[in-house]
Amino acid sequence: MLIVKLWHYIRGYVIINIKGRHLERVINLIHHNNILIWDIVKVDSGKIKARIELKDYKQVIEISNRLSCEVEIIRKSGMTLWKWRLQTRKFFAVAFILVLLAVYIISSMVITIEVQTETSIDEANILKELEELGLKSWVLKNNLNMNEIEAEFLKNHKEIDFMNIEINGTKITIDIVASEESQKIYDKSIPVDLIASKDGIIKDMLIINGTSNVEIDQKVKKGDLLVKGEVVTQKVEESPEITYIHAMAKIMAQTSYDKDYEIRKYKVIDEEDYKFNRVLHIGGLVINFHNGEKNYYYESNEEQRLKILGNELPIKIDKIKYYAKENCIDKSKEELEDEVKDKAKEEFNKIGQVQNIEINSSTVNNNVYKYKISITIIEEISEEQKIDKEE
Amino acid sequence: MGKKDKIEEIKENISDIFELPKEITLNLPKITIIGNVQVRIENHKGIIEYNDDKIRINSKVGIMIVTGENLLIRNIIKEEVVIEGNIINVTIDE
Repeated sequence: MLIVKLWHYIRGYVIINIKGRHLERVINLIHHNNILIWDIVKVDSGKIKARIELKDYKQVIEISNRLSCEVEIIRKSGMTLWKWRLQTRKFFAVAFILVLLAVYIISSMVITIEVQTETSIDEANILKELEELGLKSWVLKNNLNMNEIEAEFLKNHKEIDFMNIEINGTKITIDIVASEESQKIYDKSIPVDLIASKDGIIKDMLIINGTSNVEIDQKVKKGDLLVKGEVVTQKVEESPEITYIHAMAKIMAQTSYDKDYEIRKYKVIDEEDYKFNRVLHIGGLVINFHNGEKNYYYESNEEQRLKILGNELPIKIDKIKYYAKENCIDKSKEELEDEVKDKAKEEFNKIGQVQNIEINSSTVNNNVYKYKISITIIEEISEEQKIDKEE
Repeated sequence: MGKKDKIEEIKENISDIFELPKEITLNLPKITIIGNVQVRIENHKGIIEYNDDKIRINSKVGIMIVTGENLLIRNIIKEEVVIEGNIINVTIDE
């Protein structure tokens, strides 16, 4: 039936009322004249409503007049009417084409540029540099060679490891990843000292090459010399001779870290059984779509801001994820502390051997405990430093 | 028996022998009813009366009366008329 309806729509049809006394005869005559008539509904004793094709309208009027019936149009519909409508509404047609054109042009432009980076370079500076390379708002996307811009930008910034320019409609998102500061490792033939890469107390030393500069249980600070890359040799009746070597040692020190951890106050029985509550903020007005029930556990909050062409509107939606209270069980103090310690252990065991974990303080906010903890570990702290022989 | 009746009889016999559909060979109306919502009548001879509770349609075998509620003629072409609505009764008045 949909195809039939579509067919009628393409050809164009008129919904008419036929008034008179011999309506059945009108219907018979219409179909005897090979005129398509459908959806005939009796409105009252002297009136029917029906649909006919646009091209048959004049013929239907003739037939109706012959039987002293009146025809009135209720509505015209269909694609064939577009041409007629466009002819009578020239301004509308021009405006429609202009709007289409504007949408096409605007959608082929870059309107907003977003930079996602954790580097020390200021976002404004990145945008300024990209502007110099041709990537700025209101330029045509087709005129931009993203690979070229990426290559040029990376050439100017050695500290950046990776850059990705992603086009999403009229928005361009730039991902910048800075290269990690890697420890310098020198060739074995180059003489080096070993210095402390962080503060700590020396607990164990295994020197393979070089001369020790520190002792067990000695406190050292970052940058302190641990092992000298030199060997002093002295032959009989000769002055001592210093030979510079590539120092090699394993210096284990006790270091401490302070870290914050967030632990959920409750255990969730079914993790998948969560709900969302949306709170609409329009200026100062707050509309909460939740039914007012406070019987839930807050999980996380996601803020959505409405934007038009990159400009923020004073409307924001807080999307709050929560669990129903019956789906949650509160954790005991011991359970919470064990969890935070396990979390810390898991993280710091990757660096060294965890010695002690101390919980300094805890605060609770929105059903989440924030623990401040101190962790003491034993780890390797030596770092190579090239010997400047001129000194 | 008139000449016309004789021809009809021959036609009926032929359609019996060759198992031809009688609505074609004898030009008889074919009525298809779908549930109580649609009646399709093929080989009709025009509408005699149309009301929203009763539609009378002429055919070779007599007047067919479709009674029901909210009846509407969905479609009418030379060979076929489709009636929709809450169909209660379909009778042939010879």
